[in-house]
Amino acid sequence: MKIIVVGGETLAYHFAKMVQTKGYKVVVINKNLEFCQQLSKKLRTLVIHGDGSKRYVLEQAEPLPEDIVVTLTPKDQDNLVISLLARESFKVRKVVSLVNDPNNREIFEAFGINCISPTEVVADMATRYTFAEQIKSYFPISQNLSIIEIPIEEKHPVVSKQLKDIPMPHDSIVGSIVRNDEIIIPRGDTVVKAGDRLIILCNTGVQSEVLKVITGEV
Amino acid sequence: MPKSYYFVVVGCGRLGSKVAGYLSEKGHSVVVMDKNENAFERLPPEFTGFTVYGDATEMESLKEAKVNMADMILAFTANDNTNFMVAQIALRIFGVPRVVAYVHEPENIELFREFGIEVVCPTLLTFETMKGIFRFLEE
Repeated sequence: MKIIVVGGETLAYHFAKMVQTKGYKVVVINKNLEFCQQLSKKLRTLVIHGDGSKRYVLEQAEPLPEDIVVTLTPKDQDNLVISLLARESFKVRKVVSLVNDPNNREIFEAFGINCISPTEVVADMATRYTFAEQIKSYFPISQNLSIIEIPIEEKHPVVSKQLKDIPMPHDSIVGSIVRNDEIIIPRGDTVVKAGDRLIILCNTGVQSEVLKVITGEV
Repeated sequence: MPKSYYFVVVGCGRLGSKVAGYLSEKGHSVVVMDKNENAFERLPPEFTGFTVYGDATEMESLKEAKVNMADMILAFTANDNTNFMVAQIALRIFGVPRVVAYVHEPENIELFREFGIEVVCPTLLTFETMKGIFRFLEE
């Protein structure tokens, strides 16, 4: 099983590097010759110089059904063609695509291609940050699901309380507590301590209520 | 009087502009889109339709051109991948009944056809014409 990364530059480089560090085999396809040359020196891996949206180029990476193809080009139309080519012609089962224009997500999803829109992730994090400084937020799986991380301080009303005594709003739940790098999956009798990081899943609509209950601040 | 259809021509190049003029003259409604304003200068005098200045890979531009109401989309940009995406969005999201795309690279034709797009490929079409010219070789 290998991971084939098509297109992108900075992102492709860091992603390929990270993936390789984790022990996976990676193949990189890129249109930019200089980028290809630099990359093949830095990562000892197969680097193919060419347009990954052309079958004869993609072919050189020898995509197999068990491989993963990741398309990171700055053009959604190229990402779409590469994804479909990989899936239909090479029968690759897992394809992940960058989607630059959030409005194009629809067409990718119509084809059942997994996509990530960094534009939406950044915009989401930026807007959530403006609402509450003390929370950190993860990227949304759906528009309506919020996954937030709240670091607990001494002054918060939930300190020393058992989870079952905390009046969490409907549609919210403390999914996990991170305490000193230990992950706790809490139960009703778990006590919240200062220094804990609470990972809460909730409906986006009750997010501010959750914050109010946990931190006492609005 | 025969029915008047609604066409959206994406890409006002040599072919797009010529086709737009032709359809306009026949009495049909035509909207031409291009991301380069100067491209519209290619439109012949008989063109009486509308122009939309925008990038076809952005949904907003397609909505502005009212692609959802089109009877046929002609994806005639200089880029095969762009033509592919425009064609797919027209077919799958806007439900346009027929989509024709200009495909430069013969190798790409298969992918287009597999996904329900009608193809015009200059290389192939010219090749057919050449075969006609070469017919004398068989005599």
